[in-house]
Amino acid sequence: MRYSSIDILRTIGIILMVMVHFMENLSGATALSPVGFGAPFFAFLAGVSYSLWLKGKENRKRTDEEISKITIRRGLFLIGTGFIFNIVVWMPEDAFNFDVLTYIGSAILVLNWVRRGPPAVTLILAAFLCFFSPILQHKAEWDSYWTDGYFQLDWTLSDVLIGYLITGYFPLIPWLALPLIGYTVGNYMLDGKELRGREVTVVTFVGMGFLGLSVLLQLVHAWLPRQFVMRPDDAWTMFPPSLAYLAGTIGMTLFWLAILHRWLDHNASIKKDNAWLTFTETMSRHSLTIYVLHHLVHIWPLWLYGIWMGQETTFYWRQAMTLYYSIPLVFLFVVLCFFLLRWMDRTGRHGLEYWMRWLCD
Amino acid sequence: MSTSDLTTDSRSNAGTVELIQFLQGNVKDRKVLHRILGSDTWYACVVESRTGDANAIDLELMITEPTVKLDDDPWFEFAKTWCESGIVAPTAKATLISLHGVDVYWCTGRAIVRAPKDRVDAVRRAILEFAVAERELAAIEKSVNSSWDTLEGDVPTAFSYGEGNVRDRSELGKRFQKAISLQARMSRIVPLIVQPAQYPPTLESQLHERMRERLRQEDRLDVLEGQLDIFQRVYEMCGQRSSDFMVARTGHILEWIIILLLAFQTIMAIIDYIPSSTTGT
Repeated sequence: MRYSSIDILRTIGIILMVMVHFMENLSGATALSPVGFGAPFFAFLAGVSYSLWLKGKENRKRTDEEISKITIRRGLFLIGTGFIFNIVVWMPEDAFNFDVLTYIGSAILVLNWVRRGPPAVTLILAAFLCFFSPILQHKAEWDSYWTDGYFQLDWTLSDVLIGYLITGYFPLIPWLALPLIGYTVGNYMLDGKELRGREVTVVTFVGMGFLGLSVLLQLVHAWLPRQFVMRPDDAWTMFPPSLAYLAGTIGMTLFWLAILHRWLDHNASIKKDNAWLTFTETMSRHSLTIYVLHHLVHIWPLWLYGIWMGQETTFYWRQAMTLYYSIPLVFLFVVLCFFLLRWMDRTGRHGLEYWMRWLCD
Repeated sequence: MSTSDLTTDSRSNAGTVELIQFLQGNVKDRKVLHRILGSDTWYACVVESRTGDANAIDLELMITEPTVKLDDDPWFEFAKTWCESGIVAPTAKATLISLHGVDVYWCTGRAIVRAPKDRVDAVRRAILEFAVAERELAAIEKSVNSSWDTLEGDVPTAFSYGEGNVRDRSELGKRFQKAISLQARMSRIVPLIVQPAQYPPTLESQLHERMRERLRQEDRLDVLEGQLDIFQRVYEMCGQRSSDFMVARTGHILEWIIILLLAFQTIMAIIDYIPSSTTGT
């Protein structure tokens, strides 16, 4: 069955990501960006979707080996796409910036390993990833990689490894925690046949607990040990992800997934073909395509315009226009993108998701 | 069905219909028609009216008296039709047993008897004893036949048990219990079906024996035994695998915690070992 709750949350995640990127890359507005919920939603739902995908494969009696092979191919496809994306969109020197795609691809490889283990181990691993992340950020000297407000590294094996694990845009520590939790929650809460009322209630309260923990961490931020704080003046940071940020985004995702699942997914009175759900389903099904496409349509023109104006390629990055232009462009992109995707569906044209399935499944 | 429900043609053949329910345990307030002794004691109780739960009626027994017997006796057609039109198993075929001037048509949940008045009691007893065993046997067969798909789905679990099966554990437990309880239920009806031949034979014993033979109760019992054996074997193995897995799982969790702690310690050591080469420092 298709879960409208997942479609809605993923659509929100994508729109938030588009918004953040347009505002940052076109207008340099990092402070006004909507608090960084886009990537956590996206990452968490990658885990949830994997659990559903896995159940589907198991129900179709695919063997464990077949599932592993498909999963690994999918993971490698995303990692490969991530590197190509970095090179093509962000220039070759940013090949190792470890963006969302390489991270999600790696997460899928890890999920292929954790799916055989007890959920308790997955959750303990997620907890360790969050707990140890500030300590490891200190040890790796996270600030030294982010001197100008963005990730920079030397092309040495040590920097690449540390960037992948701790200091990149989306390093495995702690970001891997989100798909791991998403996978566990997907297995625990989503059945496909009926609403698991008790489980949904538990997830709702756990989500509220995480939100409460986030508030508490922000309140006691000044008193936390130095090893657990990267930004003494700011408790809520996405780069690097602070403990309060991790707890808040995990809590928000858990809470809204549980609430929307209870209200929507098994509610017979809501027609699945209504305009809003059609919109969210379309956006959700093509999330990977949208992720790549929205970068192409706003980053490439910057580079091309820079070259055309005789400037450095990246000259207009973060200073191309004011927010008065970049914010409306977000909505324009979302609307045009929706109609483009509908047209692609109608005419049998395929996005990246199709090519991933074609190559990997 | 009462005599007034019968068709005009068959009205001349119509007799009295007894609605019977087989019960165990306390039957204080019930009118007991016959007490059936086996491993358990069953009581054939009369159901006064059809109002209430229709499932409460286990057997509809029509007793008719013989009239003049003709070659084209309409009673047989009537009896067959009446038996086969029962609500319990409308698709079942009725079977006829004629013995010492007694005719019995039997179909699941319905029986019709044509016997002289002085033999009715003996015939009724034979039918009731047969019917209670048949009812139990049919119920077990039905339960087994409806479970084959589930069993086939569970066979892989008997060989290998993984994390994905943990959620089905209680369900597997219930299926194992069901297999065992069906076996127990079957064992309890064995004394009703496998009985020594009575000598000198009576009408009751002969009719009972003939009905058991005609419905192949002993053979069906053997088949059921074999089938339930398969169920028991599969679910026993599932139980063993599940139990082993759960015991090992607890240990694995602790082992994994240690491994993860060591992994993080190793990452810290690696980071300490690798000097930061970034020029931005």
